[in-house]
Amino acid sequence: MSICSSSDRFIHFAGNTICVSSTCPQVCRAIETHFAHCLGKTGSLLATYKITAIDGSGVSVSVNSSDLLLNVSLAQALQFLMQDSLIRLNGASVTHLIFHAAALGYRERGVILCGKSGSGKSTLAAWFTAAGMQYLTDEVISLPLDGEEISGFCRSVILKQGSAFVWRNLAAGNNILHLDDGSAWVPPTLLNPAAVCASITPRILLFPQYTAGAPLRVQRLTPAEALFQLMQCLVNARNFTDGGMSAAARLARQVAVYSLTYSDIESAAQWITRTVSNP
Amino acid sequence: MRDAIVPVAVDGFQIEMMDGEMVLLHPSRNIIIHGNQTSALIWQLCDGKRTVDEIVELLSAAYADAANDIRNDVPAAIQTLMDQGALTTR
Repeated sequence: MSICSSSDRFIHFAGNTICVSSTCPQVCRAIETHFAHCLGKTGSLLATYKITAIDGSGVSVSVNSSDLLLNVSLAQALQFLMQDSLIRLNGASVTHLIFHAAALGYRERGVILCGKSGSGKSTLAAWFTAAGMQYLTDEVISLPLDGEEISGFCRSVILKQGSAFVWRNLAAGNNILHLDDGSAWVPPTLLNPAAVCASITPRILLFPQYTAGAPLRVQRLTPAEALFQLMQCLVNARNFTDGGMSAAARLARQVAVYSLTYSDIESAAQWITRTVSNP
Repeated sequence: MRDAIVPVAVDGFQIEMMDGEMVLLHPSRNIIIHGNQTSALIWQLCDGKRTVDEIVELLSAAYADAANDIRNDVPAAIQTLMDQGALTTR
């Protein structure tokens, strides 16, 4: 892990950038670990986050020179940075549709796991990454208005306490960030050193839904059903005159779409693996 | 529902037809509706000029075999589209 040589780090997604400025080595190290594959500068600079170490173990956070958090833990500051920066990056994109979705790659075939928080997409993404698939994101994908390849916000996978089985055997040293709520940020390269994939053409679109005790239930969706569900996961519809519907419809037509209800990740994973393996 | 009412599509909806099914989106109101081909046809017939009765007659004449179903289903479908915010009355 490199030591910060400059106080600024740039994080980009879907045509926009935010800047994180800090001279605190712990902050720089955390940014380089958990945003490693999002670093870079493209398009407009939306905001500058300044994270400053204060006496003791706390930090303060200012956004565009407004002091928003004072004397919080590093984990709290990073959590704020993750949430706030994603809201800004997602909301500002006028060149890409942004969907709440995880995305993976397998033999150059993209798999989108679309759903809101609690659907299990992060757990599935981490599980498949550990099993050898490529990782694009566990949170949001971007689809260019005039393109077919998706990209992901390739941050660390954020796993809730109940998904600890995916990562707890990793010999990760201190590269896993543990939060007070029991969740953990796990760099995708800890799950699979060759995991990271910048963009891919999607072939399968899944709407997973974790339901405790439910048997595995798979339903093929029509393109219109897929579009209906996709539009509910579209984050920045208001940025487009047609609400992003034409580009989302193009995506819905180009992929095979399924809803997937599951409680047992292994049986869900078996079905997904079998489906994605079929040409 | 009174069948003399005149339903009209709410302004601002985008419609996407896919293999005979429709998705309606109202971007600024954040309304998304999925419907079948019949719903799509009914929504498009609600032009602010025809009453519900006239729409039923029109479809009954076009699909004579299903006339009985149409008399029941069309007013219900119009009511559903109203409840979902895709139609209003004039």
